[in-house]
Amino acid sequence: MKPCSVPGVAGIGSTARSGSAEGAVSLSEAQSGLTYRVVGVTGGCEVQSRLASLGILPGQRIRVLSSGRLGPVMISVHNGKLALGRGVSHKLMVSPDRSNDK
Amino acid sequence: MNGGVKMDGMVTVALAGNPNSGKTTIFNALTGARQHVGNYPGVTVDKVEGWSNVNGRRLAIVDLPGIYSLTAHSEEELVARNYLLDSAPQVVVDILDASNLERNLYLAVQLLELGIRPVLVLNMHDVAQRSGMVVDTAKLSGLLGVPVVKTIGHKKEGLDGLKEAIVGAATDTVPREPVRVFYGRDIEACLTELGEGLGQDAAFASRTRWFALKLLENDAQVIAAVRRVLGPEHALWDQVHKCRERLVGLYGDAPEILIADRRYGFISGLATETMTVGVEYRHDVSDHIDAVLTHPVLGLPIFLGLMYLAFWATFTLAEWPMKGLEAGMAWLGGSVAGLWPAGVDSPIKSLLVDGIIGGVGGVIVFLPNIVFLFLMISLLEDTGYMARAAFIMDRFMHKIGLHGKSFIPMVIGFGCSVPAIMATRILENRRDRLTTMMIIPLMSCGGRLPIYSLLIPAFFVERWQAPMLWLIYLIGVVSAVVVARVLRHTILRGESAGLVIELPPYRIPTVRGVVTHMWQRAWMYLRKAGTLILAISVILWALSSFPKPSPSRLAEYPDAEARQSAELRYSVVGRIGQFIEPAMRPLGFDWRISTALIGSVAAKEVLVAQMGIVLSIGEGEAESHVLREKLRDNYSSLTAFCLMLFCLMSAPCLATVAIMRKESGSWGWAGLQFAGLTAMAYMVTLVVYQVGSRLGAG
Repeated sequence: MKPCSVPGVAGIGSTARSGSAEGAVSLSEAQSGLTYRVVGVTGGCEVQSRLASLGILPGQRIRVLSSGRLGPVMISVHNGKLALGRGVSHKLMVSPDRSNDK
Repeated sequence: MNGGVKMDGMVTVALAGNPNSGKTTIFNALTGARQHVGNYPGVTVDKVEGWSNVNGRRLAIVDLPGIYSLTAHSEEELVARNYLLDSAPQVVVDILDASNLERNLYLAVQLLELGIRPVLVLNMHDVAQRSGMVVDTAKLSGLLGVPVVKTIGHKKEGLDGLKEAIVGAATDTVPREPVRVFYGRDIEACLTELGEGLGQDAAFASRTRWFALKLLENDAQVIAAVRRVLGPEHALWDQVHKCRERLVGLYGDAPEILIADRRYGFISGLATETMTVGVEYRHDVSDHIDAVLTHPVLGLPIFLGLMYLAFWATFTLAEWPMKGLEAGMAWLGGSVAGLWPAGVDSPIKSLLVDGIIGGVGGVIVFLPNIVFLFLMISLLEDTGYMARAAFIMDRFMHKIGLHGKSFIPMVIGFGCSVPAIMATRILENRRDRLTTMMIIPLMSCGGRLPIYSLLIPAFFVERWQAPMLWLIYLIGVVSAVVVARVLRHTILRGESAGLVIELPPYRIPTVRGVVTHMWQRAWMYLRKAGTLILAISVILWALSSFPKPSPSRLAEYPDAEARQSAELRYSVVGRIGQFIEPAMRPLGFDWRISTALIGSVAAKEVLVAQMGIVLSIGEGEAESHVLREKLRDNYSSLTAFCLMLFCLMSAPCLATVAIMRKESGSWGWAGLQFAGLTAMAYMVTLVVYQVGSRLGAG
């Protein structure tokens, strides 16, 4: 059985848990200074698992510190700063958190 | 697992924790200079052990690699996990960064699930307190059933409390119910079901829940282990598959995500009960520094500037001690040679002076380089800048198929391949690391510079000299990129790990930490690579010294240099040179160049000396215009260019081979690099020479 690929599942988390998936973008398209909620991760098993260990799970709030379409993205999760490379930030789907509207 | 002190009183302790949690600082504080760095068998992960004395009890402490989790995804995690499972240390200490407790507790939860009762250490709690965080350690301890202590590692605060807790844990024999994360009805049902199947075998009976969890999480190593015991046809596999499908159907996520999620949920609950967090994210000094250092425009130039500085420090500062060591070795050689009356040519004298002392000298002379290099790397890592470097370079390196951090070892390769290959340790992913190691010799190293210095002025007019040098270096870099791509598409295929790196807060490194790290590396180099390089040097010396022509034949030659040339021709190396001449002719090389090339396997610089001998000029210096004239008389500029090309690409020196073997873990990679680069050099040079001579450049 191939790791992380269960037939018929794209790996995007259930909307019930992560709140609304509308407006979901990849992290590479996120804007710096805003807070987002993780929707899910497309593709690669290893990436999903590594992100999960670091707490990047559907529903988790993250803050984008420095954005980048072409390069790595800096985020804060659980009080720690992470840099996610281009490949990973393209695969991580997030949606804007309502707290941004304040 | 926790309990019982060995009869001899020595307590085995393992230190676990996230990278950047200050674990190593605490390890250094506990063990001081009593440390030893070895290897975990079969993998290239350092095994760091140390010893400490607490109240008359001896502690044997292992500093496990920094990890975030106990999955099977990285070598470090597997090593740590296997160590905990197989070596069963009496006490496990989990060191947590108190400012980042939730993420750090993820590992603690997994330790608990393994049946371990770790001593939890809230390290750097001063920083946490400053940001407003308050932790009820007594409550946390009660809820998890484990001791909890607070420390500030780099200030040596709280260490006594930690030592007491360790000894206390070692003597604690009270059996307790392990703390369990409740995974929800569905997953728990699966765990029970799988647990029954697993419990029937003694190998898994003591930890059925953990093994069941791992099977659900699709853990490759556990799956393989269970398969070995139960076989691939066992009914269990069907159950696992059905469970996974059911869970996906119910929740829309792979079970490993669900499980990770529940663990974090558990932690969140713990946090609510035991912590009051300050402001969720504070802009602090590190952020201000990052605004500059990772600035979209300034970041790169600053990084390049720092790299230049590090490079300069490693090679220029090291030059003084290197010259000192060289002089020392020369003096030693001279003294030993002086034990024989002048003019006497004894094979034992040659063995001692040229073979052994020469060989040892070749090894030791690298030491200042290595020491300074690791000083630089330690500084970069301990301050936290290394992570930013990877962040900045990732954009470019990604395009080549390499990791952002690969840039640093590659730049070091312009000085010398040996420290550069050692520097690849900063890459965590094995594929990235191997790819980088394989292409480092193509970054034209300092050892080749004497060759270029000899040939370029001999064959090219002044106007073309600098561009020629640039051209050679450029060809090296371009071929490195090409080879990297080829490797990534063939034998080292696979998704590039994808940069996921923590950016720790900037810190002032401790002198002790930096020096300890540096010293460990230097010592490892001497012990492992040193012995191998010495052995090969002696062999090469023997092959170029024997057999010797008879004295009567030697007397035919007019002078000492001509005699030296004849001796070389007569020796094994000389004969090989003549033997391969037919194969080298299409490249524009004759037997003399071939012989010199074989000798240069010892070290690239040797080529110059060997060329001198073989052209009957003696081991003159590269500046010698006599040598240059002789070269011009005998060879064309096309041949000279081809020779430089060949030297650039072919067989790395034996020091590189030795370090490659050590760092890659097998002769296979070292051999592949040696053979592959030589084959590539041969073909490229062949094409260049043939095309060049057709075009009339020859």
